[in-house]
Amino acid sequence: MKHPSESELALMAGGELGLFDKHRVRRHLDQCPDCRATSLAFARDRELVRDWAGELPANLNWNRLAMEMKANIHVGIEADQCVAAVGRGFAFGSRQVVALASAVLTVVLGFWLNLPQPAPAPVAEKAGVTLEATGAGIELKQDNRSLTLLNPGSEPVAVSVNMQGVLRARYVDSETGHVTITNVYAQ
Amino acid sequence: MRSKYVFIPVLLLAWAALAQVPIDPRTSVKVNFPNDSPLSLVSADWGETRATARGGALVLDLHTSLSLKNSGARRIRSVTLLVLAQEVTPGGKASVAVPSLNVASGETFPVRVDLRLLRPLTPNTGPLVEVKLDGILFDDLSFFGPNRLNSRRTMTAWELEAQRDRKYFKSVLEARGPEALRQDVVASLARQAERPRLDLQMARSGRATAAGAGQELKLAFLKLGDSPVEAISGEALVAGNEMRAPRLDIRNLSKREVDYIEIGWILEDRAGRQFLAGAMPAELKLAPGAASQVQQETSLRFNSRTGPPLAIRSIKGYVSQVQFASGDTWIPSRASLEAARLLGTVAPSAEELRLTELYRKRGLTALVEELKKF
Repeated sequence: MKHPSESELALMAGGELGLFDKHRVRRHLDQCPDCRATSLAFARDRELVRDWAGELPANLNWNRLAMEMKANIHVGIEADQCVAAVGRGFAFGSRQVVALASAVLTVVLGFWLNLPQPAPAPVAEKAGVTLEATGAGIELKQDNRSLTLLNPGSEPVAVSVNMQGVLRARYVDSETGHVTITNVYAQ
Repeated sequence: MRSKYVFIPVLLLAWAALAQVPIDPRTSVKVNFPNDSPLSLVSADWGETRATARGGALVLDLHTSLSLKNSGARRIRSVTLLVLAQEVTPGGKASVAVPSLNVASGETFPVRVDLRLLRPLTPNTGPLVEVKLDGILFDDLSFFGPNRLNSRRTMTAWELEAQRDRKYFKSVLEARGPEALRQDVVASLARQAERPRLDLQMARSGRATAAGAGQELKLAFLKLGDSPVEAISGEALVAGNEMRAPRLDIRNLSKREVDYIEIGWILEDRAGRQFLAGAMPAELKLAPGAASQVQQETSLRFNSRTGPPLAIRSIKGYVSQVQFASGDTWIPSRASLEAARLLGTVAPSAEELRLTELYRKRGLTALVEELKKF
């Protein structure tokens, strides 16, 4: 069984762990009385510090105190890393767990993205239709749908718009020498 | 130690493979030509067509080259293909046109279609994209096709421009020789390179951006000597780089009834740069000598690709196309465009582009040979 680090237990006691870490640590605490005791100790310390905060002397040097606290935290984190480097006898390291979790997540996401989603309600005809000429080509857009006639590898010689709702681009096909004129219509 | 993590890239690759939605172009893209069409599909190369799941959306990248054959007797000058993706953009459509062709009976030619669709992930119930024939224009200006996009009118104007510009280059060659033709073509290539590029955004029945209310700007009009229609006056709301709701008064100077006009717009910004912004078309019935008002509830926003942000200072208009009730079409002559100093601002015709590209790729001899074919 892999135990959470002391910093994780401290963050857990303060309710400051991330969503996934919180779930993982909480499951561990359910099974591990030692870590549960440590976490409870952190929670008690937190309450005590909160109580004492009202009794702190007015002439306290806050900057110095902050520096000492930071130094203590760094010492604690480094000590935890030293212990982790020696090893706690786990068969599966944290890096492997993260890598496996990432891979599983990407595969699940890929599968989910390919699942057919329900189609949205059809939009009103011509509502919100825009025509746009960009470096990629000429485009007809409507809500989250678009139809783009792409530039065939070369910049259009001319792009023009017809105010009845036609956008036009004129190219020379470098392979055939033929002139090609593409149009998108919002009508 | 590293070997323990080899499975991570393997799993990421597996995820990437899952994100690529399998797509069969034969069922996802439908190419549909009428049975009696003088144009037939010989083959379709689907290249790197693929679909990708991105977030909750499907992105389809379609890259195809259609090989089309002229199965009729007449020479084909222009073709327009309608591209429909109704599920993606209800009411929206696109087209790919190839003008300035010279395809004899039995010959084949390629048409490239490169598009990207972005839509919510939904179960696929049919073709994502449908490619249909909208029209074919032949060398005698006759037409075949359903003409849903008014491609007959557009392709006829392109063909008249092609005839005009071929005639011009031929006249230069015949009157002043190949070296003069070379100089003229080099000047055209220089004009094309110097034309400023604009990014455009257009919204119908509303504003393209949240810019301020703007001010009403009087429009100026360039008179082309042989134009059968005159633009008398006009206004538009302008705010920064945005132009809205243009309105103009026109008069028919000819003795024939007019049923369609197009006004070309040229913007000038505060830095003195001029841009061809587009055209304002209007279908109307204008008797000889009659006047009328044309208005469009449209917003346009312009962004310059280079230089300082564009702030519209003035707008000029000119009559760029007129169609008579008889079906005849008028376009400005090359001489009138030159006289109005518009050659450097308006887009070169498709034929001028084709001929100058031919010179750039294959040299003067190839260009002279091409001009002799007509």
